[in-house]
Amino acid sequence: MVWLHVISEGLITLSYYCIPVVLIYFIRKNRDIPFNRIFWMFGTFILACGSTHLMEVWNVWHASYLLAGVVKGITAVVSVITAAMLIPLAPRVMSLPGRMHLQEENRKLADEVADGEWLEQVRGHLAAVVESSDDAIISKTLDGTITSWNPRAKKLFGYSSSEAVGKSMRMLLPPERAGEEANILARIGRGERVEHFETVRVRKDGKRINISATISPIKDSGGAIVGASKIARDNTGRKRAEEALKKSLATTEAALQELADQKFALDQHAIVAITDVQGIITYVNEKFCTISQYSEEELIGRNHRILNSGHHPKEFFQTMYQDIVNGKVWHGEIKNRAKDGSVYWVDTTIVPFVGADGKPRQYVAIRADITERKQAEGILVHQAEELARSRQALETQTLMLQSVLDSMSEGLVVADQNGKFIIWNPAAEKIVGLGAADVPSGEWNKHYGVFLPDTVTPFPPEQNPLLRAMHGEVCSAEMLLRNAELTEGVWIDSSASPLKNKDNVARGAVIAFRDITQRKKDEQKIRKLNDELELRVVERTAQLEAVNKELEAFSYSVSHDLRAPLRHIGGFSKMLVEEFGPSLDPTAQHYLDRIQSGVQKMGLLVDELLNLARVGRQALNRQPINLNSVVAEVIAILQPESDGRQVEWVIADLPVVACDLVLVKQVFQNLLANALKFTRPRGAVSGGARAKTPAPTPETPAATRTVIEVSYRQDDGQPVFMVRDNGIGFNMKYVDKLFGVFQRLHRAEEFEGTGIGLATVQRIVQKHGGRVWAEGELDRGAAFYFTLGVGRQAESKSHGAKAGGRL
Amino acid sequence: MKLDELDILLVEDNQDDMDLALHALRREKLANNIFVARDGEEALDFLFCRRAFAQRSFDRPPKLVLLDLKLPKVDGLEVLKQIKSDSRTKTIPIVIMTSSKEERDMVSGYNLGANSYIQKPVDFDQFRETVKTIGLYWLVINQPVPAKGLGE
Repeated sequence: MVWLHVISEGLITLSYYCIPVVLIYFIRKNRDIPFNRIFWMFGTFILACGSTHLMEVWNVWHASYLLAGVVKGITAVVSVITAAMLIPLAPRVMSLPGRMHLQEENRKLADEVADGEWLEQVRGHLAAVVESSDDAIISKTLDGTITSWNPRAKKLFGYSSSEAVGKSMRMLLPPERAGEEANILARIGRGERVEHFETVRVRKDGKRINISATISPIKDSGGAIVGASKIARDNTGRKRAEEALKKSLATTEAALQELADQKFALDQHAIVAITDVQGIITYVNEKFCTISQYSEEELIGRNHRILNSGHHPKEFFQTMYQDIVNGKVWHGEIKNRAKDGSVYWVDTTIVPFVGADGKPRQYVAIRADITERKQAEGILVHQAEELARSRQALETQTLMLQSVLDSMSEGLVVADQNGKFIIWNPAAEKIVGLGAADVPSGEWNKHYGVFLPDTVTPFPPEQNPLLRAMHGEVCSAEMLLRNAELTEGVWIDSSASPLKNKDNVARGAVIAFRDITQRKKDEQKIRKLNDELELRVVERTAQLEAVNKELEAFSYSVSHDLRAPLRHIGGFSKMLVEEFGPSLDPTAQHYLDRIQSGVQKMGLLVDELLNLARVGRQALNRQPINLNSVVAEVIAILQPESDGRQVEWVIADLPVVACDLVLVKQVFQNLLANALKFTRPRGAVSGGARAKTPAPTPETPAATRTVIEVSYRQDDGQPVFMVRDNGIGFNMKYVDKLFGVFQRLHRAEEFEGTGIGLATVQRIVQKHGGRVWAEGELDRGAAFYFTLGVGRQAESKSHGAKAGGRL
Repeated sequence: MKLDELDILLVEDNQDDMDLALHALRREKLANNIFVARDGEEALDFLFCRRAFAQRSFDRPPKLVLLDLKLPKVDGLEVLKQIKSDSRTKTIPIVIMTSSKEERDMVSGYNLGANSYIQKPVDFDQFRETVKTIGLYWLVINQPVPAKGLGE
């Protein structure tokens, strides 16, 4: 009995389960069947009923009533819903037409198709569909002539509708598939449908495209096949991918090999490094190590910052990281620092390898050494800067020259080789009164009113200094400008020279000129003054000559008229002594002696005064003189003065000097006579040799030898002569009086003299352009120094003496 | 005094100088016949046998003329010039004896043919010595031009 239950329940379950399967098949095959939701609910309801029966079989062995109850509950819910849905549908099911009725309807429809209005309506719908379709839709006749061509077809094949309609489909066939169309049309003619036919077609532009086409026959109302409709889509992309995939799958092995080869090639060519997302170097190739000078071990595990040269700003790297973090390829030029500190430039491409999550897994950097290019660029930049600098310098210089030209007071004019003025500075315009004019060079003088210094003759055109300079001559000229602007006339002094380029080719000429009108006036004034002066000089000279004559007459009369009475006094007093002496009183005799002595002194005085006057008047007669012989001669003349005395003469080798023999002899005579005179207390032998020699004073030191020295030294290129004695000397505070006329430092009782000797010496020395001075010390002797100036004849003989004597 | 047998013609305007010179000459007993002309004109008249001296003959010139330069009327140099430029008188020895030591006068004197130039020393002893030497030389030592040579 149990098995009866089991089998019965099993069969019921199977039966129930069969019904939904049949129902689903029915629905799938007849999609136009309405109410398919109620079919679904009905199927579910039957499935649930079947399941309750299956639970009955289960409960025989397992008694799972809870599960059975749940299944029954679900069945109950489904059955209630199905019933509830079925009830409102009942009227609509009743209204569904029966088979007969449908046939009737079909017939009516066929009639209506015949009716044009409806046809038009349908065609409109269809046309809209065709027009907007994403597929190319083409219809053609059985012989392949195109009858319709939608916009997509135009896009796909490139031909417009007007270009395609009426043409043969063969125009789309590639040559190797020429037979394909006929084949397709044959199949269509047999009523077959060609679906998803993959083939190749040629576009209007000649490009080949892969298409997938479905071609269906078009039948007329009678069912006869009249043409074909073709629906095609571009299959190129897909096709290619498929082909590539196929190929790649087929050649995976080869590809891997190739990849390895490519990597090798890349390593040979490029500097390659791989870093992880943290920027840590995980791989470097050999070239990387070579250029950076770091070993692989030094680089792996390090950051790229190890190579930072500091050249690029932070922002540069920030931008780079932003790019690659976001999966973008970064490209740029980086300046790196190698291990030894040298820098190098690399052209860098960093490719982020992006994982499945779209985030970079690692970065591959491929670099090329562009250091040389960078250096070349650097040189170029440098050269450009240099160029800019020199250009700026040139501009500065030009500006400077311009301001010089503008501010100079000299007129400056430059003409090119064609005689066109290219510079005419403001001063030139001011002086000439006119600016640069475009006149032929031959007419310059006429245009600017240039005259010869005679102020009336026009300056000869070919003589114009600027024109001559253009012909290569350096010249200068003084000329007068007189034109409409310069009615008064302006004197200019000009100098012109040719301008040549560095190849010495004439490029024109420059003339510079000054307004010398004022100078001219001044010169005239000076000339006039000079003339006047000359006249005055003549007058003055005449006056001087007159005075001189008077002076001469005076000295003549002095020599003649003063000496005569002296002589008379002397003569007659002498005669008195001689003729009446014995009868005279001794006192009278003494007085007569005094008269004689006075006469003698005065005679000396007159002689020396005349001598002094003569020195002033006489012209200097310079000749090379051997001073040693002069000194020797003078010593001989003075011999009587040194009679009975021990005098040591120390005479140096004196040079030959250009001087006046007579006058220089006088100098030595006066100086040596002085020396002898003032050394008298030294070398005096027992007195009384001459009446005029005073006896040595008691305080004079014991007699020593007289030493008189004549020497010279070179001082400032000219000889300084010295006459020194070891006589009584003088007090230096009276040194100024030594050379004055009638100035004496000693009483006449001590040393005779007129006080004219040294004045004469000074006058002679000064006449020679020389200088005389003295040094002395009381009781220690005196030294007289003098120079004789430099005569022209003496220059070669006086040990390279400089020109011009000291005064 | 026989003017035609004259030893010395002294041309001197100054009485003192004249006396001193005569004194010196006579003291040395060198010249007995001395004529003194007191100015240039008189000296010329004497030598050229004119006016007061018209009776004189050119054939008997003085043996020596002592000529001062500074003279009234005709200057000493002018006198010299006329004497030396006339063939009848140019051989007469002329010694200029003057106070002047002017180079100018010396040069002019020699240029005009003076036979000697003496500056009168201020010192009388020297003066006497000088006069003595001159007289000795020209009147005793020197051989005058033979008489017949005169006036050629």
